[in-house]
Amino acid sequence: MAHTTRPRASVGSRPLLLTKLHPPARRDHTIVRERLVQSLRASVGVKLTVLAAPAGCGKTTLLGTWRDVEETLPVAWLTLDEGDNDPVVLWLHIVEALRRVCPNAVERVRPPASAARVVDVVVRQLLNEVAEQQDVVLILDDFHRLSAGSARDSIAWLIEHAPPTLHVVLGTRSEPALPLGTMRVRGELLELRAHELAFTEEEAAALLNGALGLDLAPEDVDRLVERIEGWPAGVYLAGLSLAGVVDRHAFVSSYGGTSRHVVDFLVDEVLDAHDAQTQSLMLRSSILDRLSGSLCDAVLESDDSARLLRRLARTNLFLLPLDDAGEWYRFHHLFAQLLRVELEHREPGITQTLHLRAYAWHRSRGFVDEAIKHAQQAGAYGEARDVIAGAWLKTASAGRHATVLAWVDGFPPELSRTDPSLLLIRAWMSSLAGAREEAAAAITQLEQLHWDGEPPLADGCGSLEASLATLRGAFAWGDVGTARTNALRAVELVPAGSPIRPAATWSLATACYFRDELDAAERWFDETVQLAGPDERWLLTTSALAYRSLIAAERGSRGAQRSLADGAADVAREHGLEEIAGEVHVAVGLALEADGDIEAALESLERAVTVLRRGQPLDLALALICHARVLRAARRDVDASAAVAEAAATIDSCADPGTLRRRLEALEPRPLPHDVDADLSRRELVVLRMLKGSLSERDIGRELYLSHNTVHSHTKSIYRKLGVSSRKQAVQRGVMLGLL
Amino acid sequence: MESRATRGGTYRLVVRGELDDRFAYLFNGMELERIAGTTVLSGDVVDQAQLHGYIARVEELGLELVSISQTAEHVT
Repeated sequence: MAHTTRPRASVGSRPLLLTKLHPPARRDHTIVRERLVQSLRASVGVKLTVLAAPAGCGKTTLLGTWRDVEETLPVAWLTLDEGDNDPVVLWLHIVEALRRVCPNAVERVRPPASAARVVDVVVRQLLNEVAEQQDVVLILDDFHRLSAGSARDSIAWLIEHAPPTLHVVLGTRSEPALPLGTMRVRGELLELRAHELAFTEEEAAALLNGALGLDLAPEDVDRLVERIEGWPAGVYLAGLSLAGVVDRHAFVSSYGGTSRHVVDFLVDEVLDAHDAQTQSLMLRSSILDRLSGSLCDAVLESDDSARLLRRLARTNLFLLPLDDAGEWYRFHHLFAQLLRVELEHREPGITQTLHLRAYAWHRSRGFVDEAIKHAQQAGAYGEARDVIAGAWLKTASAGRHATVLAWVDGFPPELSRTDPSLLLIRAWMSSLAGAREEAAAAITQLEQLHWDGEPPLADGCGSLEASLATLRGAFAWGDVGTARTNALRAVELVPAGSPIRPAATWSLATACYFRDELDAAERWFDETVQLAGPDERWLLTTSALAYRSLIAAERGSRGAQRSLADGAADVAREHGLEEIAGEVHVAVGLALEADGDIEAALESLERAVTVLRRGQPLDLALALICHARVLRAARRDVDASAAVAEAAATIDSCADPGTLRRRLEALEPRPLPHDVDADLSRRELVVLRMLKGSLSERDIGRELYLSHNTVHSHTKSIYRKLGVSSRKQAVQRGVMLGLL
Repeated sequence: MESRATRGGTYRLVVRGELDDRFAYLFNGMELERIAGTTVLSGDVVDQAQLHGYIARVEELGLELVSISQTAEHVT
């Protein structure tokens, strides 16, 4: 199966960024906007609350003050960023955010190990748990930073399926891509928009004269609010500017008399209110997404940043503390942009140097994501590539394929299309993610490079041929012969010390297994375990143990079969691989069957099939054949026939299924159901079987790894062939014809 | 090969409020003009991704976007 080549599977390497879970603290300048807090209290009556308004409308501050004064409800907080476009990262943080406010609700929820399983496993589990709890609010701030893709889709799914006890609150600059219209009609939606978030004169006075103590005349406050149209960030900028001004009335009048934009007019004044050292800190650290004293010292080559940051955070709401210890901060995005404009104006071209220093600081501390990003922004592409080469295997084994792909996408196209290391990483990531065409495209580009050695590639190989052979051997895509040829070459070429050596031996072992060359398979699986175990390559280890158990079963060695299956299951459980390593469930299922525990065996095999529907076709067919055999033994003939039909369809899709077809035929003494039915194709039979259940077409597509459209056209074709016009009739007719 | 996503052109973005020339830095060298209480950014955009980047920049600054228009299409 695809995932098995994932080199490292340590779940301990998951990157939890605690600063994202830190709700904004209330500070001296924060005003509590009572009318809006009251509106937000109604969140508990609806499924979804949306604060949709432009930058600087005070969304984050409002949500933070509401969370502060909310006494009756647990309110979980998560600030989203671009990294959350990786669903594994996103759900890791959501689970942790909820755990912090209601530990019981997520006690049994396992953090995600693979992007493919996020919605199926983590989100469903989470919803089941939350449904049994009291009300809980989940605030996702900066929702606009999620782009279209599986992470954002998983949030939409969450909201659609949320139990009445879960209330999601989104802070966003742009309209979220959710079916708001429907929810509005059903009364499931609470919305706060820019016009509601604009400051009233009273609120502006509370900020300017109350919190900031500016002592402005009421007509000056009114004039500012009118000129700035109540835009909270603008009013606050004006307040900060006015702090250093003696004749405030004159200042307000002169501002009122220009047509300059407030952000343009005021940034100089805001900066001028500080000493030169603080100004320099604000300007130069504006290139950072998150800042600490130590990081700023490195970027500015200074030594007093921690103190300056603490002081600045007390008097400037645009610098937000990200923890209670006063260590990490971030600038309000809008303010950071203004500072960057000013930085470029005052010190043109310096950002490259600053990014380089930021890269060095992050790299030396093991902050891989940030190191890569800053190196890329500095144009130091060689450095960025080196960091990626050192980190991608570990990151990918934690299931974070999307993260690694985003790193590769951060290079200019002319580089990412010509650099062998980057292309190779793209090929591995696409293969692991099941994106066959993208993987093939990257491999083709690699071949066209005619790259010949030196320096070693990102996988520790000195030769492109060795890397490609391993890649092609590990991902058979239903072609055992080709996989075996490549795996043989890989084992010959990949040097013993290379981190992909165990992937090469595993590839050869599986190719042998699917050709019934059991002695050779056993030898190579054994070598894989020897290499992968000490190197903590848990996925390869558990997979190799599982296959060895299957081999022992075929030889009738019951004792070895059972202990190897147990060993595989232990490794999978310990390292969070149960939702990835489908072959482990096959081995466990067959061992249970040998023990006579048929019900437990069927449960394991069902799980194997579910997991492997997203894996490689050969593994899926194997699991289905085993499942069918045990189902038949349990006299569940209808289910057995469906499993046989799906196995046959899967094998049909393989260019070279090895000995799988023979194994299937050995199992099936009677003609396959498609010979006696109303001419349904095997794939249609599988879909018909799923139509019997309660899944929607979209969910069936997800289960079968087909697009919604494909499932829909199968369904239409089933209706036509059976002469029916509804799902219910199709199932009835299927039962009548003995298809179900 | 020319596709919708790779099509560039000359664009004109109008935002409310007058901005100093130094803001052109955020818009990758587009020309910046102040006209009657608005700022007009105009220049070449290589593809749709860059155009959306500029719109995001406007959004990040909390600026009010008045209009966007294409004044010429690039033929490659």
